[in-house]
Amino acid sequence: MSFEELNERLKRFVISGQEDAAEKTASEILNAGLDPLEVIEESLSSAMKTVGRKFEEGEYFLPDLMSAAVAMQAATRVLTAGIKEESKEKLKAKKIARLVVGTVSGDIHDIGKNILALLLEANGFDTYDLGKDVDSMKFIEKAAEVQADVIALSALMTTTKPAQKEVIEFLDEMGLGDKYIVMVGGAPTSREWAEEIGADGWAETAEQGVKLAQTLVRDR
Amino acid sequence: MVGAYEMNGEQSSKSTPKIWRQFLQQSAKFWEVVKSIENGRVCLENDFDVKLLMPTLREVVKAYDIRYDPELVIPADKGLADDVYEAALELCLKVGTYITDARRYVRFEEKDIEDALEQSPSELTFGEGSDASVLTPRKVEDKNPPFCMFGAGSPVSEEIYLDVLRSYAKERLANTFSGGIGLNSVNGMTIRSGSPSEVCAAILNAILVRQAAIDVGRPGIGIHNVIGSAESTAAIIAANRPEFGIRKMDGFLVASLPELKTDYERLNKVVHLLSSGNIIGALYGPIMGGYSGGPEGTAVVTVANAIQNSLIYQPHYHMCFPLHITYLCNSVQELLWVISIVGQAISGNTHLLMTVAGELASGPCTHMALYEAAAYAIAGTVSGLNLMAVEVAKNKYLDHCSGMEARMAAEAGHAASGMKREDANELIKEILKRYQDRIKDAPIGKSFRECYDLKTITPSSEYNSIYNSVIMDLKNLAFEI
Repeated sequence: MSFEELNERLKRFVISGQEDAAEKTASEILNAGLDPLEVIEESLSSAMKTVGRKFEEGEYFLPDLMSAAVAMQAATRVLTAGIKEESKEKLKAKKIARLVVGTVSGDIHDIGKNILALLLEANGFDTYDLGKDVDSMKFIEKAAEVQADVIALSALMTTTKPAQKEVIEFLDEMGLGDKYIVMVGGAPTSREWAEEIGADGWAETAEQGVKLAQTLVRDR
Repeated sequence: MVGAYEMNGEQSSKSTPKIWRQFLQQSAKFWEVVKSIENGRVCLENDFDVKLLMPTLREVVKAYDIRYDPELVIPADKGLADDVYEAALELCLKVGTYITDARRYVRFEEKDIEDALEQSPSELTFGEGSDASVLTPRKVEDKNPPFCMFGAGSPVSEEIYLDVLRSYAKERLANTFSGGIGLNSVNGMTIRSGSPSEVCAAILNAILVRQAAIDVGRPGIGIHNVIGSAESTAAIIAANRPEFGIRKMDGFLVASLPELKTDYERLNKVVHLLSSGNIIGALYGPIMGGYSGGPEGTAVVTVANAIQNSLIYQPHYHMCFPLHITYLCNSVQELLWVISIVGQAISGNTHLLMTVAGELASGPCTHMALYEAAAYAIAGTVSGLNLMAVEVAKNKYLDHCSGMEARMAAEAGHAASGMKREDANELIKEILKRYQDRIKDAPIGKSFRECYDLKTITPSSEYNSIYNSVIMDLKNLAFEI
């Protein structure tokens, strides 16, 4: 089988969320002598972009997204083992940015946030998902710990969106207002709300959230 | 489930206060559920979602060959409806419900589920006196009009909150109305979940919902959901007092978490409502595009919620609102199919008191909102459901809701009573042509202040004109309201 065929097969297995097949093909790619770094950066990245597009167009749903992510992770694990140490650092450095994401304090809804986290990871962000009902200070502590560039705050209730404001207030009062990009989203939020609380950006959907993060990081 | 709740010797002694014994007796089934939870299987929440729910749902959808056909928004297929019901029952038995605080999931025995369904109320009176209304189950293509609950879930400014509530309570077809609309502030304070402001908002919410009923001359009208401004049990307990105008026959909704999950906060609310004797409504909104997957999975999960929550929440009635993950509405074609097949599955296999909440993408004073409201109401009505009319503009924009959108849904529901599903299918497909390509960028319309006269609580001439033009257009489609 040619290099191109192996690459195409890997992409196909990732897009269709076939974990075992993706893992096996990744091993075959290593054995065939292909550059694993190139495969990760181009084939896997391209496959996940296709997955993201399918989700955006309504062809894929969260389960498809998760299966594809699992298949990608399996292939990445195998391929990473074949990368030389110095290249591993290069791969790490190539991540677009570090991002801390979570649903704010008092809010136990996390499906939209989970989708955002998956799409961000698939689009090259080093993503730290803190889960749901996250204490406002926890976002700041984690951002400091991992040296994050972005804090992304999700809220799904009118009564929990004030917690987004609280995180920004904490950052300002701690003198960290300019250290991180803060983006907000979730059903009850809006562009006006984001402006009112001093967030750097607002996204209505998970897909828009990825584009927003890319733009904010690029323009910083 | 573990054995029936038994009081030990000390508890059952004659010296035990009667009121305590009565409470235990009334809530005995619920305590069996709680004991089952304590004996549930330990599991990470992510594993429940990914390793248990998702594959099992996929498996049952495939096994029962449940398929969404875009040509049939309203399927007339009893076999398909029964398959959805059976698939949902199997999902309940294999997956159960996850309790996030307990870090356990519980799977109930089929017999316990059957008993709960069998013992669920088949009739429920809301309100009192001449304003009382009786909620009953409906059948597919039922000639009886749907029971119409009026309300919305948008945030509303404190200054006009009472006016907005009045706009719902005064509507002629409103069998009940709701305080589910959220106050945007209380006494000038931003309402923050878990803070004193939330408790304060719940109290004001309760007072004003009763006041609205009195103001419009319907003091006895039922309130199917007293509070929309607060979620915490503490806030509900603080507000649920007769001094604030809340009666035992008023209802409170207890929500599930998507998908097939609950937590102690919600179960605590059940304990309070069992002790207060209020009407309990089980609320659930499976998300299409989330863990439920596509329309087929969303339909199965919605029915599974109805089945399982009959046991967990001991509800008097149910309210579902399947929702699109991106568009935050259920007026898109796939969700209208979900509403229809869920209605047919539930009404054909149970006597549950089932309502469906309409979720509109667009806002007040737009043609689109009225078309969306009509499509949702027709889908629900011909499929054997009662209506909760309607959530507006994705429940998102301040002051963007009014009684007028609910009026259209209720009038369309009444007009669709007795309609054949095949006719409803053709009609809805025509209505969809009028708005479906604008779902992504749905107009938010006008705020309540802009489209209602605040002195008379009547729609503006502009809104009346839009309403009449939609009625005329529907008449041209041979659908007379």
